[in-house]
Amino acid sequence: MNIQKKRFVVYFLIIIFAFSLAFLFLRKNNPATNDVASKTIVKQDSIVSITLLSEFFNLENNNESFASTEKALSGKQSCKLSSDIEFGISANKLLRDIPTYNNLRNISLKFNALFGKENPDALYVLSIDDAKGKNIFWDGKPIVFSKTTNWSESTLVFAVPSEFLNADNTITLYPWNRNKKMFYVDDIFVEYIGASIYSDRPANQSEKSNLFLDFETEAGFSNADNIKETSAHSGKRACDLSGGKEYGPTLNKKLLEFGSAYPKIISMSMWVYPLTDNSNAVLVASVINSKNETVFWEGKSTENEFFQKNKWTKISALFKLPIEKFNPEDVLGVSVWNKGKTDLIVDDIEIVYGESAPRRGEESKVDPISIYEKRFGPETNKPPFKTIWMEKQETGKELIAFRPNDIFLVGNFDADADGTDELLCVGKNKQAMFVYNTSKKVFQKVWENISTNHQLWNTDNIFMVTISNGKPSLVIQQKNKPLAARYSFDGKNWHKIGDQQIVAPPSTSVPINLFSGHFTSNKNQILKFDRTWRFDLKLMEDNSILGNIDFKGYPNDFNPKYYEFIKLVPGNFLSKDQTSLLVVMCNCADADFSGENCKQIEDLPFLPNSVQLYKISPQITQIITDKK
Amino acid sequence: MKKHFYIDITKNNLCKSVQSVAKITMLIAASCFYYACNQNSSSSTETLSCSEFTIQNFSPISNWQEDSIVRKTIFLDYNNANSGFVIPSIKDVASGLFSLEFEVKNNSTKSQNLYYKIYYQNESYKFEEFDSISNTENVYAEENFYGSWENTATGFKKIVVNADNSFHKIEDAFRIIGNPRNEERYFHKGENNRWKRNPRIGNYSFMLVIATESDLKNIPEYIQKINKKNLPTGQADKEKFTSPYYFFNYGEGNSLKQTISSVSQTQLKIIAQPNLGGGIYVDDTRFNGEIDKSNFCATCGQDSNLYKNAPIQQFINYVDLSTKMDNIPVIADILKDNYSKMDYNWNRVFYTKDELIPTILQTSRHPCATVFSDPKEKKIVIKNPKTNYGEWKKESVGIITRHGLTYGKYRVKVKLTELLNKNNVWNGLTNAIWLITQGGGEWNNRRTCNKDGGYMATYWGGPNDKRVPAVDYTEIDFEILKTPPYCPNNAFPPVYKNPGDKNKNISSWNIPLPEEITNADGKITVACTNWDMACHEPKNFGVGCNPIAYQNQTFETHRWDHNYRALTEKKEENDDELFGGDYFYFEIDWRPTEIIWRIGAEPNKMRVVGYMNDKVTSIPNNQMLLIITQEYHNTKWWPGAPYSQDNLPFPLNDIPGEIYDLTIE
Repeated sequence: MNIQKKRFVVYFLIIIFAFSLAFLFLRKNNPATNDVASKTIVKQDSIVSITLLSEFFNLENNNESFASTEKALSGKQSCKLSSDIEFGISANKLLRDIPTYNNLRNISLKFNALFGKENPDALYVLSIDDAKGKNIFWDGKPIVFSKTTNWSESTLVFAVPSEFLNADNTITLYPWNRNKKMFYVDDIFVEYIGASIYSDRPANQSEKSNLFLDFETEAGFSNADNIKETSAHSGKRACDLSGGKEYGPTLNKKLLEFGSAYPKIISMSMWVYPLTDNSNAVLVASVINSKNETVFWEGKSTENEFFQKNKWTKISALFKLPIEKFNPEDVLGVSVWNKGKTDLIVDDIEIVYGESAPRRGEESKVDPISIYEKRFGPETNKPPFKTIWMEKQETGKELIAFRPNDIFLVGNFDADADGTDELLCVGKNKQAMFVYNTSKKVFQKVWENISTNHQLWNTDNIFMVTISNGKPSLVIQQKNKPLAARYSFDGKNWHKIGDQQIVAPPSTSVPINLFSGHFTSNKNQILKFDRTWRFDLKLMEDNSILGNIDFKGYPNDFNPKYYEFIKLVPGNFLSKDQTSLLVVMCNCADADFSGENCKQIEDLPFLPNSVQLYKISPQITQIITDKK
Repeated sequence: MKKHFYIDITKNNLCKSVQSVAKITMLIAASCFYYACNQNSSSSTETLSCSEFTIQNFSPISNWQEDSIVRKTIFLDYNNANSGFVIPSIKDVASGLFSLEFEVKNNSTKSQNLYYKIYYQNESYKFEEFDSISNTENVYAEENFYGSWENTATGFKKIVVNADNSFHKIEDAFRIIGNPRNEERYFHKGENNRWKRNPRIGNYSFMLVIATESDLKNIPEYIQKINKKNLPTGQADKEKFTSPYYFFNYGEGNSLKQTISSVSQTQLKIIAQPNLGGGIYVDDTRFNGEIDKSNFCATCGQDSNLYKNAPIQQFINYVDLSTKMDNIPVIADILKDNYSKMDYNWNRVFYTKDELIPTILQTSRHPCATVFSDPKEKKIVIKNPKTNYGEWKKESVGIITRHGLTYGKYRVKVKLTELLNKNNVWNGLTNAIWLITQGGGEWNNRRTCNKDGGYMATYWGGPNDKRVPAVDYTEIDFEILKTPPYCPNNAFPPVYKNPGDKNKNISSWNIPLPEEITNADGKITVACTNWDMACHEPKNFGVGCNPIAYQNQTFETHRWDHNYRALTEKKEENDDELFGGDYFYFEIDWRPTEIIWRIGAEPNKMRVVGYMNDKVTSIPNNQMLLIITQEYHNTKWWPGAPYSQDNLPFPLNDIPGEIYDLTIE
């Protein structure tokens, strides 16, 4: 391995380690922001206290009379109370703007104060005004004096009486310098705390909000007596409500199952097969509280609609749910009511609770006016990024048998003059090496393992490429062997050239991969592949993100980023100067697929397993260095 | 030998014409039929008589298309028409007037004074004058477009006819102009803004009325002078115009013994067909602040020629701030880039909030940059401009006519952008062909709404808007986009599953559309809407879905609630048929009591896709303009739409639309 390659490996490992640390670090919430999302603070599936909303005031953007640059705990400004300033910064919140405000119980106020020599005997006040601005609640708590000359942190908790939890009421928190003394307040953190249900489910769980009930089983229903084999819209079973039967099955869900964010709407549909004229079946959504009182009821009927006898017709409904009336123990039910008591069959009920989950992340910082006025300038390493298109190249059919579970090694193993890389593929059933024929635009096989030495090419072995005397060689570490074997390719076959100490390979379980190369220029560039959440591939140069990589030229929907299981293999396949990207991709039927190894490769007709080669074409690349 | 009775009429002082009778040439009438008075006739070749006189050879527009007798046609002259259309223009006829001729014979034994008056009336877009239920004048007949001498102070003109048993030829002249009743409503600072009540398009009839001196006394002043209103005794608040067509054909004038009213067989069809190559005017009041004139050219801009003669203006959509959206940061050509439902599904899930582009839907800030008038091919090209990184925008584009009209069959031949690509993904645009109020306030108010407080006061207000008796807002739309029908009620809204965001499970995020949407995958919805401002007066005013039948078809009208300002019908049509070919026709047939929306490959192959009448909606009766746009809509305006505007890419390329013809008839 030459010094350059060694450095590369070391840098590579350091960068991976650094990114891993950064990733773990960044996952922690940093409270020093102005808005903090709701966060759960205790355990699963019990009624607990949670922060419905939190806000942070650092006073940096205030220009009221109390804003002072004389002292500041953070930034440059704080709130100065003095002989002229009786009231400090006001935190106002309309109750309707607090998620599930009807569950609000307490307000926790954490702030920092810097006092003079004298105790100001000031108060921090919570007041609640009604929609007309009339004060209906007031509570003041002493601001504890500290003789220290430094900033001191205090926490106050105000109880919010439930009778004032009206959507149109406004909560205000402010320091009251009733004796008009001098002190400063800064970095105020307000948490609106309420009772709710803890859930450790991921934020985006909206796929769990879709239910399809085809009545092929009775699981989950109450009133399931009428489900039986009959004329069904799908399958064999449906709900038969003939013979005067009034009530069909009911599907109940406690609202606590939805966590702290109750669904604001419910969408439903069902298929109805009237056996007589003038049917009147009602698709009902209702909410019943713990006292068995109906908090909400709405239904959509087939009455007055054209539901032809002996014909399946669909009825759809969408109801807005008054979540401010709900409590965690309330039960949201979906049921079928044969109000007309005519003979009919219903089947295939679809229920969607709530709307699509909000997107992840913080709000965009982009100023729409700057776009409108054409003065938008991107900030380094901050979205939105440009899109850099990689264009698909022809590959031929030699590689189609390989999957991301296989091992791919890249290097100029034959040390030929053109300097392009060979691609060594080590699969369970096939081991072969390929080189790209630029005139025929296909990968051509230059070697295939025909020996019976299955142990050597076992995919459970560890394979690495090392550089020695400028020539890459292959290191294979077999199980239970004390040393790794180094192999060289002579143009026809691999030959063992020695042994070496075992070197731990880079972990493949790290969710972020960095691939170096020359993708658009002769400068060193890095492709950063982050698969922690989505397919996220970025091109970087000099620690700056040049853009998001997307793909062009693929057939149908076969965009690499849509596949469940992907392996990216960069290499100088097309020329010695430009790095291209081989993408090995498939889908995986494993229920617990983590993105690493797939036990059940799945070939979906609309997204067939594939190996594609991409490069950034200069004519479609427009990379402009960020302004900042 | 005929003796000619000449009347000198000048364009500028028509009132003098009646005094400039030169002479009467005695006519030797060969023979004539004798009718008892009052004579009402629709024949110009007939001879009509009463005991006192006889008339024949009534020819109302003898100097226009002299070879045609029954049906004559004239096209509106858009040159210099800002102050109102004049028919005929001096380009049509050098004098700028229609010649009126008839012959009269004195049947008595002594010379007598006779009095005549010409009335014209738009017949295509009128309320029937006679209400057969009440046996009185139709209350809406006063809205009909009728006129007479331009000077409304001129009543019946006197002629002296000798008792020589001869026909005397009377020649006069008149023209059709806006605000023929010289209604104060259309005056501004003392000036008669005739353009505020332009002549209607369609067929015109001509009625000649001749009366003896004794009968003239029984013709009320409000008939003799059409600017006068009838003030029924004790009903001061019901002062109204009375249609002379009603008065002479059904009313008291019908029983006048010595009065002949003759409706000519000759009808004049007025057609508007603005030259789309005649330029696009830019009204800078439509643009905010100082405008960029760098794209001005001979056929688009603000020069005096365009100001006077261009029939079209660049249209700038009203932008509601609620149209702000956080758009995915994707720039793509949906129509050409093979953009798929899977692309849509991935993009709507896998961008974080901070990657989104906050924008408001835009309109052009650079006049003439996105609209072009081609004088050679006499067409207009519009284009939604492409977008670049850093300058993200979804910009609507369109044109609007400059001359308001009331009623008409508006037919456009267009090739607007396709809306769906080959994967049937929507490009986010709404193709719209629509009529909008010419605005202006009180003068352009629609008919008073007399129930439940009237109309919702504003176009943009919410459901709690106050109600007022009259507003000037009117709108009739074709809006064509990807959205499901609202009716039948049982199928709406479609149930859309919520996507998840697990990239290692395709089925989590790649959610299929419901089958009622995919069943119409290649179709777009033609939404036909009348903005009636929620006037409750129509007899069958309704909310929800309600059927309405027309010509063996049943349409479903839909209104969200009693305060919802618009009534809509939707019909799913094939996107390829409407926008995939070389051109397609769209037609809004706006009539006094109904609106019919038609589409078709050719003018003679139009099919009805929407129908409403005055039983279900308040039909506009004010002056409106035609708009053709390719608009970006906030899909929140269209509940149930399968694609959300903010999850559709910004356009990578310009999206053109072409307008080949606009005919109003």
